[in-house]
Amino acid sequence: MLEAPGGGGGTVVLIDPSTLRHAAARVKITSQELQLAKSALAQISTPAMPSSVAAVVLSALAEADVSLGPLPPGLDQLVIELTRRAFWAEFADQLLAGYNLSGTALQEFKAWMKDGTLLQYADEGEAIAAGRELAVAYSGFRKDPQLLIDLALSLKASEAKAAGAEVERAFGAGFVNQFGAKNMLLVPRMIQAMEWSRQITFEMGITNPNVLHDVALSWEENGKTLQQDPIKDLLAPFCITLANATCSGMLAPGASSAIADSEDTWATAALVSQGTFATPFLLQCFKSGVVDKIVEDSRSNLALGGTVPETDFPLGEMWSQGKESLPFDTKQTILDALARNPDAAAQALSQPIDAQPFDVFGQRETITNPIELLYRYGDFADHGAAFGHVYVTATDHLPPAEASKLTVTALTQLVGYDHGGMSAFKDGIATDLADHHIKDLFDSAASLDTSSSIAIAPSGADGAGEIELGRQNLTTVIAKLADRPSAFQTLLHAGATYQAALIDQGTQSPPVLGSSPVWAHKIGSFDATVLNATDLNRWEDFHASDERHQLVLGFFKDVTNGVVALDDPVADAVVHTGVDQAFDKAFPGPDPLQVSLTNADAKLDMINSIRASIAAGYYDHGQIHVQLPPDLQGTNGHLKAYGSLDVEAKRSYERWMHENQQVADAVGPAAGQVSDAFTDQSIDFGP
Amino acid sequence: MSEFEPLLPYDTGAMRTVAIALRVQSLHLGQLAGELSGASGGLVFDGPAGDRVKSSLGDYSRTLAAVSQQLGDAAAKMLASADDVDSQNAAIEAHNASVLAHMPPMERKLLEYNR
Repeated sequence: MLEAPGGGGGTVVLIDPSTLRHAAARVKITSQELQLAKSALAQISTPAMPSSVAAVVLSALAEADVSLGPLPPGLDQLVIELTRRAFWAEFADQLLAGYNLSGTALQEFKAWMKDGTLLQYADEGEAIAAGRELAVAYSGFRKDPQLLIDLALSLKASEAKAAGAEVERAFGAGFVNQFGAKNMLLVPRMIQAMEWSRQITFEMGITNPNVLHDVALSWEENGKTLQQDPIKDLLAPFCITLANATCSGMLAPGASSAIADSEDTWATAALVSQGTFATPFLLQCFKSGVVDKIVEDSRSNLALGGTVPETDFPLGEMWSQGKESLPFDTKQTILDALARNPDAAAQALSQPIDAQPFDVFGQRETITNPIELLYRYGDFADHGAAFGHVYVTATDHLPPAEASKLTVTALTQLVGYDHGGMSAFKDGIATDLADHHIKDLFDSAASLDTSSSIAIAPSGADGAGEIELGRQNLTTVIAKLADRPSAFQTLLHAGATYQAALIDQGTQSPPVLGSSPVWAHKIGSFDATVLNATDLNRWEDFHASDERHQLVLGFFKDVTNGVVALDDPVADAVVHTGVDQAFDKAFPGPDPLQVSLTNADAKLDMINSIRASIAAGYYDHGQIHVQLPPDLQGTNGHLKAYGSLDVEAKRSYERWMHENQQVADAVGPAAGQVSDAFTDQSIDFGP
Repeated sequence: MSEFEPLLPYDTGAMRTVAIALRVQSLHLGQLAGELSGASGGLVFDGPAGDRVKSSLGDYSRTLAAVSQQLGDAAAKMLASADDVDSQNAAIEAHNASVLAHMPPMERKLLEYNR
């Protein structure tokens, strides 16, 4: 047989499948014989003999053991390659021409698809043909669920062993185009019917027409039980195949739309629950499964006073005995799929939409911004966690100027339309602020703008994509994030790192009596805003039982530790570029068990920690030349971090700061700026 | 007069048995090497994949041939060594017989009695 390599190019490759099969048979026998020879050699025990001969014999046996070890597996792999390549040489043309296999060829095809080895030696054209043939071979799955299980195993094995991403994608396209959207959408329903066969068979009043009662009944009547994990073993291979198909550029548009826009949104969501899908397909799913669904739910909410549950039979729940299942909320599943594709996440949240949900008064409102729609009308079972994942992915992916538009929209929603159903979305906002805008928050806190604006900074600022918040709204944003401890912690940790860097950089220059260091005003303003946002205007307001207050306390300790731990170049980089994830991880936050648990300790910490951080900065940069009290001496000549000290040592630190004139003079200008900023925001932390 | 000498403590029968086993496996592996070489030679399989398969078969064949050779050499050495041990032991036995023959009758009888 003559075969052109790679679909053309002039040269022809000569392959005779019969010689490949014949060679494979010889190699296979050789491999078996070799196994016997290895066993025979292993059983030889050498008698006593002259040492010179013993060395030669033992060396020969050891060498044989080492040399022969890898041969049988290697030969077996060659047998597989020769037989599979012989298969393709023999049947590729037939399959590509659209003729189906039969007899031995079909048996070989099924067996070798099931162990994945056929796709291991297929090119793209052959992979498309294999996908098509597999879809045909298992087209009767609707009547025999066992076929679906075999099909899932074949897809899983082939995806694992396919020779490269292009082959996988071509295979996916061939399969889905032949299998069809209708059958793809049936797959999750078939698995659901098998997993929940008893409940579906005997439960009365199932009104969802998509639930496959007949499959459940037949499975139950035959006394079968599912032996495979319904999500990982059965559903996932179809998800990955579909994902590959969407990325191939060869998926029929009709099939793509029929799956994305299916009325059975539960099945669509199940099919996108794993894998990375192409952007256009995901955007279709987002429109129908999230945007349109939210609009539809807004109507249902009016009529029924609540969202109608999607299904009573979540995939995986019965199998895992309640430990693991696909999310109940299909919008959440689709949003998670978007979060796995940064480009799709970015487009979904930044492209205008045309949605007209019903407000609580039954009036239609036109909304064009997707973040606005999701925030205000999205009723998410996970309280917006998946939405937060998409948001973080999008803001990470977009250029700064574009990403900041999303940030401004999200913050505007947080300030104006906060509701309990979006509590988990706050983690996303906090992550975005921590990763991209912590510098902007410090700048906003120090600005004279006391309005309620939230906007992109005008051009001419330090870089594209900076945001500006009026102080009132900055306080509101922080207050709302403080309602969710995980979000607040994320924000404060980045804030502490940035603040430590500001102090480190600011204290590299000698203190000047009578000066007004801008950096000190900035940290004072940010800290005052945080204190205001958490109702901590005076130290007496501190309540150890208030988680927000413990986190604020942790923030101050974090700063004192950070000033000691930061190297100058790192501090300069943080001040310049913000707190990226590398810095964030380099400076883990305080141990929650180590934060002060009493009001008295807290008072001590909060009053002194900022001043102590400034003193540490000046001391470590050699701007203060005084003898340290022994209990404050750390390693390598550093001052110990104030936050790490016990109460006695803290007293010693305070005495050193206040009673040593040189220290007091050095710290004075910066501490004065902090104090002014506090006063400006009605924070009274005086003793 | 010289003393009795001990025999070399090697079981040459066992040495020959093992040597033959090694030789059998050496021949077997040699045949398998030829089989792989033959399988490669009969392939009509051009192109990079074909070249790689043939190359792998050639490598495996050469490995088998080398192991076969090494085992064969070891077997040959073992057989030669067994022959050498046997001839040394024969010389020692002749020497000991001569020593015995030159002993006074009473001493020889005593020695034979103690043996």
